[in-house]
Amino acid sequence: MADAVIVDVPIKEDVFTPGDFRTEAVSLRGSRCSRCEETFFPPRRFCPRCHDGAAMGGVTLSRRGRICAVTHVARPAAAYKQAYSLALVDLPEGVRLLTQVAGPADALVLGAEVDLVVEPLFETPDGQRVWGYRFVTFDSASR
Amino acid sequence: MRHVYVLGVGMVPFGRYPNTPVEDLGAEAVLAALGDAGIPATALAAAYCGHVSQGMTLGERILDRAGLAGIPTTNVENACASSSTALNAAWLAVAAGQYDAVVVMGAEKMRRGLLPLTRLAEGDLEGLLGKTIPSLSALFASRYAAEYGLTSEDLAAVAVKNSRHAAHNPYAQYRRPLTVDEVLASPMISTPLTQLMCCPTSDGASAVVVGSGRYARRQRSRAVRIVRSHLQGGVCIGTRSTPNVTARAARQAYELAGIGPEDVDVAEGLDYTTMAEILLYEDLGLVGPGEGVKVVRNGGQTGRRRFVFSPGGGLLGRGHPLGATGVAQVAEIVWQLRGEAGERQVPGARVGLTHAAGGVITGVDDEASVTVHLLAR
Repeated sequence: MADAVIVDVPIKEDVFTPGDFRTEAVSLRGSRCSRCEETFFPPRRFCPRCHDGAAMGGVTLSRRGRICAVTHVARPAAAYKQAYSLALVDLPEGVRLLTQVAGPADALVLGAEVDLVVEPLFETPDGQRVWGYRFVTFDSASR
Repeated sequence: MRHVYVLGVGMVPFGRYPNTPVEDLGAEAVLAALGDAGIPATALAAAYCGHVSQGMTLGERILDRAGLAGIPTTNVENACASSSTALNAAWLAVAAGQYDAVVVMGAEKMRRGLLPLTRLAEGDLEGLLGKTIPSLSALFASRYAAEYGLTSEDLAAVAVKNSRHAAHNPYAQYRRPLTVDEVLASPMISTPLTQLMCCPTSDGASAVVVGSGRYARRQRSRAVRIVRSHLQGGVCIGTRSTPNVTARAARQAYELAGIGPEDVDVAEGLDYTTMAEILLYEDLGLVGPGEGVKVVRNGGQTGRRRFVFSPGGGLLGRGHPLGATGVAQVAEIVWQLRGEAGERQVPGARVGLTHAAGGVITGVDDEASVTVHLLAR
């Protein structure tokens, strides 16, 4: 029997900036409403403040953010075989997003700076390797 | 708008029913509520049913099993606020004069383990990233600890308090009083929340009969009035900040009811973790920002007054069969306001509140929907 074919897929179609997420340094893509100047992630067509999509456009989000809340998830979600840490990370654009974070336990603290890494998060039973993102502590990113 | 009353309440004890169909659980609750109301089955003019994932037309299936089929039936899904949203629709229909007596039911049978977020909401980004319901609450705990100070002992104390309440509730899933050490020593789920700080999964059903003054008059002092039933939707406001949907819904409900948070004697809320309960004290306006943890340390005392939260044991003690919770909360408050709550009775309770919040959507700061009910004798 031949080896199972693994297919690389993004965690969601519209969250990365254009480019090959497997080989290029893609960033996260958000939406910005030029009327109320609010930025959103994940991207959305209509502004929930202005109730209108006319002023919404795509925006590339910063790759560095700051941890504003963190937890170590000892009992992981079904797709995951191992424990991981989750955080709310604040980006300079005013976006607060939920993301996995990685790094030494004593570095995953409120206020710590973290950097975006795009990488596989898990594989599905039908052979899809799902590429998502984590934010890693500054030191481990420059290792 | 006419006054709307709870005429009867009923439920099956929450727990595990591997060999009982959900329709039978629902029928038992409905017939209990009808018996408690003391009105004939023919008086029921309509039915409303809340559930999350029990398949199509659950309300009709339950009515069929109970021998009550043949009335207008509405099924409602709003995650953990499903049956409380069904009650909101029933309240409105009675208040508007369309019906004089209707039944509202909630029923659910659940798998064990964490809620499968990515199956309940297909392709949900944060679910795929590893978010679980307890981990979301754990992130709120992380923020709360940084802003106001919070210890694991504080979080355990809420579980201990609710287990003490549940011990006196014959409808509760877990009736053994817990100790702080036991709660802290239970398996870690998502720091700082241990298993005994998180609600279980459950099977169960609950029902209330609500009606107009035409039936309530015959009940005299036993009738409990739903002064206001309020439903509000969550929104993306950009920063996961306050006021959240619960705070907005509560403020609006108090204003519409002419009842203030200072009037509330007993409350049941969607305390899916002990952190969630502490935040509810604040979001429901029972205390100010950052004062929730002080309530825990003062044993429910806020300084000027005392309120009792989760008299029936809350989600941790009573259990949490998603669709059945909202109506079960109302049943508990009705027993409290009638003075029929037995050993868990809060002396002199006259005004009660229930809160349910359902659904977490990626990119939305709030829960998807929140209900607040204000009841008074």
